[in-house]
Amino acid sequence: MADIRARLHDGEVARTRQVIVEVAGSSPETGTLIIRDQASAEVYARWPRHALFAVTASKTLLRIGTTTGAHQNARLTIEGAADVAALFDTLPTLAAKQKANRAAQGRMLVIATAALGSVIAAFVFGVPLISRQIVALIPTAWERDFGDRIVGQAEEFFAQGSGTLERCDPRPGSEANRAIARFVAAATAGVDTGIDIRVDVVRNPVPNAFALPGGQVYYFSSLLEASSNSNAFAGVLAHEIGHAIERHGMEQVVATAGTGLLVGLVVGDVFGISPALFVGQQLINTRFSRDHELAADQFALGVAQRLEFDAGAMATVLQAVAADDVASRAMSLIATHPLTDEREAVLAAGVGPDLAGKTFFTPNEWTAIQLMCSPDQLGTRQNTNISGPNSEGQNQRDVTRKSSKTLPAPGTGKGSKTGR
Amino acid sequence: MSQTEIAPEPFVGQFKGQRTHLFLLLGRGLLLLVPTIGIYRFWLLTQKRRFLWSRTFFGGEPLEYTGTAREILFGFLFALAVFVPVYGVFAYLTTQDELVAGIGSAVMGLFLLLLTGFASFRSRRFRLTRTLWRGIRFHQTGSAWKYAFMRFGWFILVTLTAGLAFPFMAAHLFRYRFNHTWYGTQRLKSVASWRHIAGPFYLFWVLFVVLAVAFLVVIGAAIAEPDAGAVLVSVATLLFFVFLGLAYSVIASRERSRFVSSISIGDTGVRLRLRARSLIGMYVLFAIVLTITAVVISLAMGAAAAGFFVSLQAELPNMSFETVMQALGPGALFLAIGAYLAFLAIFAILTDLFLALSYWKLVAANIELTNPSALDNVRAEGEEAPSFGEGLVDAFGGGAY
Repeated sequence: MADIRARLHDGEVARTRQVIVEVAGSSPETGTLIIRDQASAEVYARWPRHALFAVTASKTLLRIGTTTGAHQNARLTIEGAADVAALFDTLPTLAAKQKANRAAQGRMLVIATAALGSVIAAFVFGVPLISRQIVALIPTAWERDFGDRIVGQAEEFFAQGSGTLERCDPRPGSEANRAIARFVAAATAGVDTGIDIRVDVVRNPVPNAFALPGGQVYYFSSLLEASSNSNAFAGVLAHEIGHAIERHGMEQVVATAGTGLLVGLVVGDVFGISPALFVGQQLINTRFSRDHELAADQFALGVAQRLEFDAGAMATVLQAVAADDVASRAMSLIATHPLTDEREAVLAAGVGPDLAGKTFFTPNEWTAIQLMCSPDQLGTRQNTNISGPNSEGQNQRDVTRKSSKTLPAPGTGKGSKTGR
Repeated sequence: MSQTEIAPEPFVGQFKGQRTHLFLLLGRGLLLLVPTIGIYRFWLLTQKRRFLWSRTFFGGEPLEYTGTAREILFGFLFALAVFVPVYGVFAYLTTQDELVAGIGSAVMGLFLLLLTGFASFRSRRFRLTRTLWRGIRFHQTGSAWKYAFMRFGWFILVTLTAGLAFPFMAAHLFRYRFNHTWYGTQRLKSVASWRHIAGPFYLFWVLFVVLAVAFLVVIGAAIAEPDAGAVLVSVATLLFFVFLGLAYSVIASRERSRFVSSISIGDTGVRLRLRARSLIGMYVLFAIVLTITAVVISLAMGAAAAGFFVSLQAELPNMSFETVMQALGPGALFLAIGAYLAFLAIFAILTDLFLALSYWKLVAANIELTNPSALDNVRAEGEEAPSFGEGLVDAFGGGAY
């Protein structure tokens, strides 16, 4: 073949040398590329053909490097369509190398993706487990302090919204509060967790109930009104006590931190404020909270068995909690609907026929509880509590999430809003 | 061919890339981000750099980017070792009371500010040591921590002086960067000075204060007279942003031009003439393209939404939020996430095509190397530096070239 004119940078000096390239030897393994000066024909370099690779290759420009030379940055530049095509034809290994390199990149990409996939899977399945272990290491006193520290935030949050966290009946000795205290004591009897359960029935028009880290449980007056009978009230209360005792709130805090890191890792923005981070975190946390809801249901059923009341009515009151903010309802489409079916099954299976009609609260107690938030209870404010010191709180985001997800509707009974 | 041996005239920079080429590269890359759960970003960044470098010519010889995606990926993994503990501290702080959390977060924020300086200097070293021109690589000496502390101190000073110290900071940091930059055995030298940008900077600084006061007066007047006020405030706001854009373009073009022109590579001089109107043109074009895209997307999405609601028309008035969501199905959420990602991708593409690429082109095509033959005898020196800095930059959410 004809000699090809090219430019050589030898990787040692910046000078550009005008050279002539000659391919010697027919075999790609043993052949060499002889590079000589255009004017003097002095040989500058001999590059083994098997070590050549294309740095850039277009129809009109080809840059070649070699992996064996003294200078890995030595480059040969060939310009012009005819010369480029001629050299490419003579050196089939160039194209093969490019292909091999692309394949290697592809493998690397697949491996990296698989690795990241495993990390994500480990997080999705591991974060609930690990956060449980981590929470087990957190002293309960610290958890209570944590709740205390941000109680103001929780109250501020509700003050901005539709209501307050004002207790309906602050007198610890009232019949209703004594009845609730009796229930809490019975429900937690024999459960040694170090969590001190405190229940407050508070005046709030949103039908809701939730538990905060440290053992504080709120039951909203509006949900109390929606509770058709005392067993419904007792069941939901037991469910919330389950959350508190099993420290689900703390687990959520730990898990949120963990998943935030994971999503940051994926998006490449560890401290990012990007909404992608928020969405990803929500998706993972939603799955996590599903486990919590099941666990709390099971706790409630266990309490019902032990205290012998019919927790089946619990399902009916859960309907009332379904009405909530738009975002969480949109989210529930992928997360909590399967959950409700699952929970419904658990609830149905857990209520034994032998308990039908049995109640925990006496009719008098239930009447007292129902009247707790009636207007004549207003104005009797005292700084006391039902079964423990007044220390409660959780950060705002957790309040909103809990309030939206703690008790999704199972979709049975009257007044279903979900239409499933 | 090369003018190295014979030409006393300067090398003029050239950029020979096509915008459509970069568009295809970006489109393909952003699509691949989905199945690779984001990992492909390291490959995409590498490809973008290869594209930009290999199409930038000085004296007929292109730059070459020799970095690989693997290096950046590993750099990111190393950077994680730093960020995981930092993240842990942040997570812990959020559980503390407001005072502790506030002070703690402020301290951590300052630490991260310091770290960004470190990261940017190290990242620059990574890029320089993977840039070849005529077979010789660039490299960078100097201490990343020293740079980080200097930058940190300057930031504080600039804040305390309400920006007045900015020209001093810009010149000092620029000098530090370029006086520690090497082309093979040849060290670069910069004599960048605050005086280079003092004129336009302080002029616009004074104008800014005057206009800010005028703006406040307008708002005051608007509060007094609500009817005409709304229009007045809109016009004033618009003018204010136009002013800011103008000020930025003038100052930035002056800074780039004078500072880059202050560089010499041995006996070879560097000249850059970047005009403010070129920058303004770039931003205006970007704004126009962005607006057109936004309008087209809004129309398309509006049509899709309208189609959906028309299909429900008969029942719509009786439907609760849940039933509407049910009609949309679980796909609605994924659709929303998909639309959100698509929106981010489109914005990223437009930014890359009409800001990053345009800026690169402007700079590349307006650079001149005077007395380039002085570079002929520069010899190779310097090794490829590790990619830790690149990893840090990625973890900070940066995607700089």
